[in-house]
Amino acid sequence: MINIDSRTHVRGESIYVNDIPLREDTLFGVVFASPLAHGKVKSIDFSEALQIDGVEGIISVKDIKGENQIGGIIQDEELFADKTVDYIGMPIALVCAKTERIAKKAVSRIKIDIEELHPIVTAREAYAAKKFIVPSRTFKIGDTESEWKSCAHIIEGQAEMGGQEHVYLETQGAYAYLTEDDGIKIHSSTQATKYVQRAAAKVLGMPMHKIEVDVNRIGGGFGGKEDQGTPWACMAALAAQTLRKPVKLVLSRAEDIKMTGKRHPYSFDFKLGLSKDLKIVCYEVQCFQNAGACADVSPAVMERTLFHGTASYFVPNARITVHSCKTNIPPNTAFRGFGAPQGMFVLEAALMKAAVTLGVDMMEIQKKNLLSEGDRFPYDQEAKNCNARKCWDTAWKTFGVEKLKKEVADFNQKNDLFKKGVSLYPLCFGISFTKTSLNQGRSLVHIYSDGTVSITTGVVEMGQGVNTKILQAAAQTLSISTRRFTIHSTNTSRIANPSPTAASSGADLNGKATIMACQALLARLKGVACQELKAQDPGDIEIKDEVIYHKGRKTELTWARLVFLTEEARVSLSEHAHYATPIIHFNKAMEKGHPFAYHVYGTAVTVVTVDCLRGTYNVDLVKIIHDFGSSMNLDIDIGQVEGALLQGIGLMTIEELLIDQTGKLVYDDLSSYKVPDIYFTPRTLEVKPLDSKPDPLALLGSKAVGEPPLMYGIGTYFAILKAMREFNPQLKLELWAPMTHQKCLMSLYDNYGDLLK
Amino acid sequence: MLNFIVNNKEVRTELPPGSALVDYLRDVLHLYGTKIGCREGDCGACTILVGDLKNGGVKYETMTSCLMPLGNANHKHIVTIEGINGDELTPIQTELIQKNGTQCGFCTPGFVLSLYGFCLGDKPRILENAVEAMGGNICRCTGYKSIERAAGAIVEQLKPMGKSDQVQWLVQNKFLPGYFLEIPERLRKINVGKVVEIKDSGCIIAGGTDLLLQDPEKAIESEANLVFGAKEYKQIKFVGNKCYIGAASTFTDIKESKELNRLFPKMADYVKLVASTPVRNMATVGGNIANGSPIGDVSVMFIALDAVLVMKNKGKTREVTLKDFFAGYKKVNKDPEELIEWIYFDTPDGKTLFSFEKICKRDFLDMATVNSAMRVVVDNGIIKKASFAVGGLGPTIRYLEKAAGYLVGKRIDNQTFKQANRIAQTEITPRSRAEYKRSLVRQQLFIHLMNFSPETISLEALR
Ligand SMILES: Cc1cc2nc3c(=O)[nH]c(=O)nc-3n(C[C@H](O)[C@H](O)[C@H](O)COP(=O)(O)OP(=O)(O)OC[C@H]3O[C@@H](n4cnc5c(N)ncnc54)[C@H](O)[C@@H]3O)c2cc1C
Ligand code: FES
Ligand code: FES
Repeated sequence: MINIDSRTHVRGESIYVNDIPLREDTLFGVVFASPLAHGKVKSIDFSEALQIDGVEGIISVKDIKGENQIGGIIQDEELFADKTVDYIGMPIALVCAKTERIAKKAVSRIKIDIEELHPIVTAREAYAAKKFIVPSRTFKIGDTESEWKSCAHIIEGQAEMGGQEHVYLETQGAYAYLTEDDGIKIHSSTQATKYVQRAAAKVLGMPMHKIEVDVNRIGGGFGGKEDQGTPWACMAALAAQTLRKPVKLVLSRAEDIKMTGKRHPYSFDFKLGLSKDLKIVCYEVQCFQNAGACADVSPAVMERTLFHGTASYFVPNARITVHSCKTNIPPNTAFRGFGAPQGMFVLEAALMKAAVTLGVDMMEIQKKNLLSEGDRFPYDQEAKNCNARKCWDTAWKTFGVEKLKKEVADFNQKNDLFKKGVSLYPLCFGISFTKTSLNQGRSLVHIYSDGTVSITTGVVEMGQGVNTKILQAAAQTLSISTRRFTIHSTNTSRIANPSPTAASSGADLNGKATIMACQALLARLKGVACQELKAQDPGDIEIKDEVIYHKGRKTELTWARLVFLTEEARVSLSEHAHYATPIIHFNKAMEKGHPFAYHVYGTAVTVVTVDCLRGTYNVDLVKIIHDFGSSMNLDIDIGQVEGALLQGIGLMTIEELLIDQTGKLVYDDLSSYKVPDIYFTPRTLEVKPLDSKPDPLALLGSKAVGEPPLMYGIGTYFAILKAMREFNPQLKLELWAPMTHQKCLMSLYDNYGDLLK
Repeated sequence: MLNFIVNNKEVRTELPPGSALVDYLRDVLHLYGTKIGCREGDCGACTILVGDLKNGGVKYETMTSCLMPLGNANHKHIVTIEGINGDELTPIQTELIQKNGTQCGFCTPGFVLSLYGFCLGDKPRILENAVEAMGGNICRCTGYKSIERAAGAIVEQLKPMGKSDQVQWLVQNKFLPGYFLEIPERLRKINVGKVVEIKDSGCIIAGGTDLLLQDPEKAIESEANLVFGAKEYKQIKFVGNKCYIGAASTFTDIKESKELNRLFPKMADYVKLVASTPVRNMATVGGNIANGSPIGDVSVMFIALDAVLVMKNKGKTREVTLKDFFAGYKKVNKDPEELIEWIYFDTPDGKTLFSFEKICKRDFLDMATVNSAMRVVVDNGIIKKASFAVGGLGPTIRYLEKAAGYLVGKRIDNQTFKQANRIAQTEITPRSRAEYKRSLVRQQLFIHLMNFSPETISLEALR
């Protein structure tokens, strides 16, 4: 089934925050933010800005009736900087004016005096200064200490992985206005209506029930609007409360990039021990996470790095530690993969280093160590229905990897200026929020007396097609036409306390809740049908394609008529259901448990060509075997794989998040921060579903697909590195993602010193 | 008073000609299908079609409405997604849906309009050109492959379409609504006797791609001197052995010029590396030079051709060599109201060789990290003349006099390259990312020489 939103999308009729028709007197907010990464605020002078015609107010800490606090996991995040500024782009005030142009002009007239303090920019600096967000955590399995001596080869090294800007095409924004009796309605571009509602209530000093948060859809989120949709919504609401006028705040792209957090940069120290026959015996890694100025979701991101520290491999003795380091850059946040790509990359880097050091094919080491059924992860869960080897073998065979390798070798033999590299990347990703309590979904289903149905769930549609899947699940459960449905906006007045749309779990949690609601409705409808048909047992009643069957025989009774009768019989046609994932649990004190409902597997084959004169590259081919369980919608699921893959390739190649020593982002707009464009997408891309089993904890057996395929991009990094080594076998192995054009050229020619001779 | 047609409706506005078209479309006309993703010309979410009378019909091109000055819409037909929509989906919309080419949908109207730009353009209707038409559209959700598949299907559907009367065919085949057929007549009516008249004062606004990005307030508040589309400066002409390019020529004009592509066989490939289709349809040669950017691609090419500028100020004309035109970072030796009219250079003869290189963070739609152009005249294997211009190394584009001077009288071989590189390296002092930029200068110098004489130079020279 095609994404139900696509018709309005292609007609430009889909409504995002910035497209909501404005109420009269709407004011436009522009944020005044810190120009320095660290300092004490000595004075702020708004007077000149306030004199500009059309400026209606400047909202800052002094206007907050509740608390100046929007932190989610930890209460350490101010809405507006008060006494200190902690990163460049930290909001200090919101100028509200009759037009955005006036507000912008006013922002440029604000004067601020800040006593500059030394900024800490990198995770390692923060680690040395003992600046942490939360205490460090370690996952352990086996006994590395005693097993090092049994290793035939020990490889040590360092690696780095840069951050990544989300570049959701719709920037952050919100529109807030007063409703009757001092209530507030907020249209927000957020993945988490609950977080916005909770934080706004706290800041505005209001009870949650007075605040309605509504999200029609968002123009991409990728994690960047899980926690970070909140500040803008709170600011708009606070300004609306203070100035008693509607306030719209939509960030410009440049503001969005400067002010919001990104994927966490990580640094790593690793040590890997292999046996004589290339089995991983021991693995230790210290991960230094650059969390930014406050917690945001960094503790949870750190947790997923721990969970995925052994990637798709079985490691009998492992010790994985993550330090969440506090620095003076914008608070880093959720981004598709959520700490997993970093944990997986460093292990892959270690394997690459081992392969180069030992002069063996990396694929040989990878293959030898893939997870098998029943293997234990360091957090004690067992790999069940483990498809790691099956994906690898299927990819190997289906895509003719043996032949590909030979073709690449032949090409490299014949060509000097261009070199090719081929890599395989095995994926294993756990599904569920690692924080067990978040694994709950909600759905509200109304059947109207004409037989049509509306559904509201806790999930936010952001392009992932979740509303389509929910509709499919409902239509299938009720066995009526998909045309009878509308999926409504996500709204706190209709669905209370929803978990954020994150962790790839939106469809599983809210889809299952929808099925439960539909089943409850179905039971009541069948009861009425039973009476109407003078049957004995509702169990004999069945609805198939909008017709009611009794004991397998078609009756005259249709869906529409049955609905009408149900309403006449004073039986409820509405149902709210709540779903909580069973079996999962986790004991944080022990760092052991069963945190994931299931795992998703896959293998990507990547071939790249490096232009060895220019230090640039193309991705020739990516072919993927992916474990969808039993996909309920391959159109949408393959779309997720393709989109995530390219985002992952961008992360590993051209997307460079460079922060200078003053804490300033060097590439801070779309003209300098480059994401993949249409030319950058792989020339050939093929995604094939693994012949796999439906998973009972997945919606209709269809495994979650949002995040996992992003990690296929890791394969591109190593394919490029392999191609580069074909040109310069001596190249210094710097395991530092992303592989920008700059790094590529500088490693191809390590004779820089000879330039001037 | 500006007067033009938006979709099926004639409009008039007194808003400043230097304000951005997108704001008029969204805030005044409430056409919310045109999205704003960046306001820097870098995402394509705001892409629209601009139709202008040409040879009796209307020629449509895509532009990014976030950087398009409202004044440049005057007397034109502006088409937004709302102007495409009918009761039924068009084949382009249908293909995007069928191939799952839309996820969050925010980029989608822009892609639709770019595909229309492709359908309405003059280029062969092959996938490669459809992709080029979408080169300015960023999609963060789909990974583009599905969009490419939709484009492939559209290419198939367009096969029966002829070279002329495209609009007719597209209307008949339900790609475009019927009102498009009346647009030429309606445009003629509002265009009677109207041409772009260049004034000799005011803030010169050409394509607006630089001005509306760098200083939108100035564009709105100053009195505008619109030069975009001025016919006399939107042409390429030959006088004696000189080739003259009008300053109002767009990058697209350059890319598509038969003459320039004959003189410089790879010109179209070079210009493909500059900006994106909708930006190339707006950005002018004059603007590229006047903004004094240290990485202007066109400027780099022309400096290597030892080009000369012809400028006019309040009736007085003067000439200056391009390499002496740049005074500092984004500063040029010119009165702000002085108009660049022409740029000219010696028409290359059979012995002239030209090469342009650009390396960036991303291959397409990116500013150069380092770009360079080299022109040599080679006779019997000996370099007789050489010029070498390099951008990206400091406040202005550099003309590497010594390195070029060294090349004169030499054969192209590894030794020559090595020595030329040594000299070039003494001439430059890159300010940021110095090691990388020095390496890029070396690589590009090598590539230029290799382009000129692949048999006599080898990779060994770089080892
Ligand atoms: C998304 C994007 C991508 C880009 N990519 C590239 C790229 O790859 N390579 C590259 O080189 N450039 C690139 N540019 C910059 C672009 O080249 C320049 O913006 C463009 O050439 C300017 O031309 P314009 O007609 O739009 O100038 P305008 O913005 O109209 O004017 C720019 C300046 O030049 C002055 N001016 C314009 N015309 C004249 C004239 N005839 N006489 C005197 N003064 C004049 C104006 O007063 C103004 O000060 C890019 C820009 C954008 C927005
Ligand atoms: S809004 Fe991005 S190109 Fe115009
Ligand atoms: S569909 Fe979301 S950006 Fe293209």
